[in-house]
Amino acid sequence: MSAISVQNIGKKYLIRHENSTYVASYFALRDRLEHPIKAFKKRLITKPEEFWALDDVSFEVESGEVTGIIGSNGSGKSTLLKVLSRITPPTKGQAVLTGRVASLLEVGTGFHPELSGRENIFLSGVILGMTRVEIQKKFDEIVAFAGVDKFLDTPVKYYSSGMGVRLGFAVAAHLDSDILIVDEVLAVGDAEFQNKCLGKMNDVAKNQGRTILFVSHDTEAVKAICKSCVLLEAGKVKKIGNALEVINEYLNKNN
Amino acid sequence: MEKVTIIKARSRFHWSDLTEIWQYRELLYFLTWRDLKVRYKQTIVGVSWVLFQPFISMVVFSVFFGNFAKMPTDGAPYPIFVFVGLIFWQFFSSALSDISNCLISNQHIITKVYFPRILLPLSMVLTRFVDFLVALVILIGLMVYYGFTPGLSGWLIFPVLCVVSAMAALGLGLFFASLNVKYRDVRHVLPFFIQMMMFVTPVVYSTSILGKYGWILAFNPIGGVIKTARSELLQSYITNWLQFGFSAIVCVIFLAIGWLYFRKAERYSVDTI
Repeated sequence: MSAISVQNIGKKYLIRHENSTYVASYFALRDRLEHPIKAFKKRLITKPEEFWALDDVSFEVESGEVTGIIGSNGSGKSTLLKVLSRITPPTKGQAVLTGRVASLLEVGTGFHPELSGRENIFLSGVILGMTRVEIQKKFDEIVAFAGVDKFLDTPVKYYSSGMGVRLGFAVAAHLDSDILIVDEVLAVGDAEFQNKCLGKMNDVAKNQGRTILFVSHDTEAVKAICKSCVLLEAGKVKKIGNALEVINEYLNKNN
Repeated sequence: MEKVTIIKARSRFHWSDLTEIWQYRELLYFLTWRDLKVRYKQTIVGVSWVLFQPFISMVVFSVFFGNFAKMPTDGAPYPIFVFVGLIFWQFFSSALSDISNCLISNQHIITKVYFPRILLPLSMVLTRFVDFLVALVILIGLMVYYGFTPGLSGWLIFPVLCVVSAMAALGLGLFFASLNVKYRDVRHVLPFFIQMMMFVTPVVYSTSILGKYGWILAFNPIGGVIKTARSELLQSYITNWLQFGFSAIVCVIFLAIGWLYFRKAERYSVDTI
């Protein structure tokens, strides 16, 4: 029984080519109202270019499996995660996710600089999908993991970038969901932090039996945590299979 | 029973969309709490600003419109007459401004996490409603000072008035929020629009100055609210329930249209933000 079933997902973006003299790239209501005829003609002449960030992507992830998604920049990895996290809808196809889903696309999601560390733990936790009761129970664990005990009641805007990242990750690391979608979160922070993250990811992957979809450029991390892997190239699935095989193909192609 | 999420290209309305809002109620609470906390933390004057604004407006308007221009007020003293208008207008206009910009001001979370986007406008209405309740203190003070007490219908209709004001702000706000994502200059047009709307709403004047054309203002839902608030709380004239009912219906229609627009816009908002 697959926890994640991706079926022919396609995502199209429209790229407008600016050839007007306006510096602003936003489409202004004023343009429409001032020159309705011109705007209409412009639409007919300069048709926006279609860009398929994802093209007919399909794969299955079994319950409890840890799957990596790799590919070069622009291959569609982040777009795929956005679609699966319901942040943007697919243009075609469908995906079925069974179980509670939590997405980690960024560290410190929902943090407000004016609020204290304590307040932000609750705010971020609830935004990511935990209940207040859950956060209350895990509060001490989160604080211990982040190591910001002394600064809990100071506004987050005074935190160093390292502290902010640690706190953000600490909240996210205690998300208790059946499916976890993680996007290159480990790319930030110092060596000690990255080790801590990797350790926690390993723990979550191997010991807690959750289904994880893990996007990273760090092939070593993918090798360490993931059993299977999906290779994306220019929005299409290039290869699916055993993590080592897929990683080798990815690395060989680049050499 | 495991939770199953199906992600599709097209979305159709499901009743589960409404139950989803209930499921995310804790997030709604935290979003509201966040805005209130930040607002009242930043300024020392925090709470007093919410009282200060309508109070000073009342004083200025009373001097110029009440005293010098001698605007008719259907029998009530001008200060309390204008204050009733101001307090509802402040709730409506500030909620409208906030909601119109909510997707953009919260882009850092909507581009990273899923939650029903309608939570953002709802939290803004709740935040502004808290401000309204704080300003209500002044109104109670004024009513005691001038010796007004609302009748039974006044007490009963008051929550309804609050709900109708909220719906009006939501309806228009959702519409503008959807427009704002695609056409960024809506944000600059809005203050002007709100200012003009203030003049077509009987905030500083009474609908009686329009004479026989007074019924046109029934199309303005917040106008209907203010008029009814005055007639119920100050009992200076008999409430025109038919007109109020009509305003309320216009409100519900605004809300329905605004929400439909918003549903369409929210799905693709992240792509254009």
